[in-house]
Amino acid sequence: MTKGVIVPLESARLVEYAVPIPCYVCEGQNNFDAEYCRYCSAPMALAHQANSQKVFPQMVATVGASGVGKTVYLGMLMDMLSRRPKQVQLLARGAFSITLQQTTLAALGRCEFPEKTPNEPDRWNWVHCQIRRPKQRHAMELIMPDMAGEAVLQEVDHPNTFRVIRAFLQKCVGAMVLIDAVKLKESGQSQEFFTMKLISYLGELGDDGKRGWSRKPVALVFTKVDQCEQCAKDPMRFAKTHAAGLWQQCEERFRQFRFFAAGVAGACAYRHSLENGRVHVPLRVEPHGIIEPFEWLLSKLGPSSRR
Amino acid sequence: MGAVGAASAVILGLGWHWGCVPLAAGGGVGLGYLLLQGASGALGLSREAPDPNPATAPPAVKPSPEPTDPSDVDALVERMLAHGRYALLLRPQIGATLNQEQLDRAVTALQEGMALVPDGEVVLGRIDEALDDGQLEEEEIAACEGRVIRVEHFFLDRYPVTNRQYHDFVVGGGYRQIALWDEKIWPAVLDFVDQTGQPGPRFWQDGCYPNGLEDHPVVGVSWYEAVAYARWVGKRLLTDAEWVKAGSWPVSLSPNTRVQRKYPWGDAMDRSRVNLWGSGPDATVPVHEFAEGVSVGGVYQLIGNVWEWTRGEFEPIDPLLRELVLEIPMKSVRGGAFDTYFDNQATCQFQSGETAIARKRNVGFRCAVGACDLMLARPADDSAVPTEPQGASIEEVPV
Repeated sequence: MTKGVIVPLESARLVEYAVPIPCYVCEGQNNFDAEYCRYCSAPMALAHQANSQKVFPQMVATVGASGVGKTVYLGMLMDMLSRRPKQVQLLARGAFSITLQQTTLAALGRCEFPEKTPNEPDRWNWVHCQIRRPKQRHAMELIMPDMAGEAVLQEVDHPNTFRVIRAFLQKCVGAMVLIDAVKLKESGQSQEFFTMKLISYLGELGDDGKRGWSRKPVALVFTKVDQCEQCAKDPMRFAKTHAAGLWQQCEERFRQFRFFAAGVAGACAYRHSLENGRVHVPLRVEPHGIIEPFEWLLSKLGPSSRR
Repeated sequence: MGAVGAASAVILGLGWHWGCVPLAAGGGVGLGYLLLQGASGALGLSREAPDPNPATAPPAVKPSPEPTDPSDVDALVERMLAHGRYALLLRPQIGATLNQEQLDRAVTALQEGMALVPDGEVVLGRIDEALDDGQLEEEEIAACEGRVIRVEHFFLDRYPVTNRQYHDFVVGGGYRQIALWDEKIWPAVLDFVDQTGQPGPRFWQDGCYPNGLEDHPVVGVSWYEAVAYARWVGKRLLTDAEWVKAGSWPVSLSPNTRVQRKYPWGDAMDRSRVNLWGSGPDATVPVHEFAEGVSVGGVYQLIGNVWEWTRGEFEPIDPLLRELVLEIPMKSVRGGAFDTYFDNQATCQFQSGETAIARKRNVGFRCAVGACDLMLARPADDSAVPTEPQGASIEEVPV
């Protein structure tokens, strides 16, 4: 005869398992202890933070082709905003939100660019931050992931390949679209075509006239302008001259858009690497035009909603 | 000997100076000659076609109010002193032709405008991490592939060259004097123009600097413009070793141990002493500001405000000592600027590079001159005019 053993029922744990937690990005139902969403691979920490802090962060996209400089741009933006006491300030929410800043700055400090962002969504760096602006009573809560350019390209070419990208872009309140000024100038139209595809994709995401992308602010940021003085001087004119199709598409699709010029390196060289071939090396870091697109975007956004 | 004869002596002496520097023109050019040519533009180094209607043409630069008569020696010396060209006057062959009062004034101007950096050894290389404790052992130098270089004593501008000083060069016709420019760069000199197409730094307008920026360092000048200016004032650009020595002020404690500063004021960054990103107005500031960042020798803003051109080539090696490839050879720049982000890129050792014809808004320069190239006191035998540059000891020049 076996003796029965009384196991205490952990009711609280059962309840936690019974109540699903929706992913903050795709709203798929997940267990409470999931690290990443089982559907889109976005970090569940975003949902937990929103629940615990009673805020609904808004989402802002930073997108562009592979190698355009999204990681460097976002990492520098975070670091610059977190070091300016009297202007727009950024406060990272959660330890995971600092990883992007940490890896980017560590690489640049060694006169290297950070490694390419992997395609797998569960390896992307997500940033949840609070933005404080002078003379603004309420802080803004934002989520800004560093998505791989190749993944974005795949999603644009083959919609629903990356559920996380589609779900995220549908929920975004604005975007910073990065364009490599040097490639645009030197290598023909591949940069322009990719950006046009992306804009077209965005335009078709929201068919709702009130909440669609036609009403959302879009900052188009030419990057690496330290190597393209013409662009640094007048990005709007540069766009009209070197990306007339893109310019026209923006005119047609967006009510609020503006071109900007940004650069991080003061000068560049390169070295040959057995693994990666020709690797660009920043000889010094002199950020220009990093904050302006973001500030413009903020000026077009409303406050974060609260529960 | 009349006034014309005296003028000839001065001009001949200055011709010696021009013969000493590697002139592209291949011959000596006296100051009187320069003055005349500068006034008339007779060398023909000009971007614009001749204006058929000069009465309606905008003035090229602010007209020089000063005399251009080379026979007026005193006026010539006065003008050179006013333009900060005292180093030219102190060249031995020229200095010997000055009267005592003129010589004294030139020496005083030198002492006010330049600091003496003593001779000695300095370590160059990627040694910043080894310098964290302020000391360098021979093993550490070897591990970082550092190089020990001996530097002779020299005078170094206390401040970067300002817009006001550079304006004298522009108004003085510096861009028209081909002798000041390397021959290979002659075609590009026509393209060294300001926003309005006049000869001058890139961000000027109508041959003049923006209002209120007279005491800011001149920026938007290429390496060749910096060299031309330095020649015009009788100086030269620093070598990399001289630049590092002036900032890090090394001292040898023993044959195997050296003390060398990471920053001019010590071994730790103090952003209140420098104009870098986040510690200043995100633009250049006057050259006398951030006085707490002064070096041991009394040199201002070696770190911060603007990168400074040096004579050297940029060594394409990254911090991990890996070899880099440059699209175009670069000249060395040092010191960091108002937009330099990282502390470790604004140390005395950190070297970056820039193409020689780049004219950036954060790159300026300062000048140097070897102490042995100057006559700082009249020789005991006053009649003897030296035929070769004579040495000058540190003791002769209280700085």
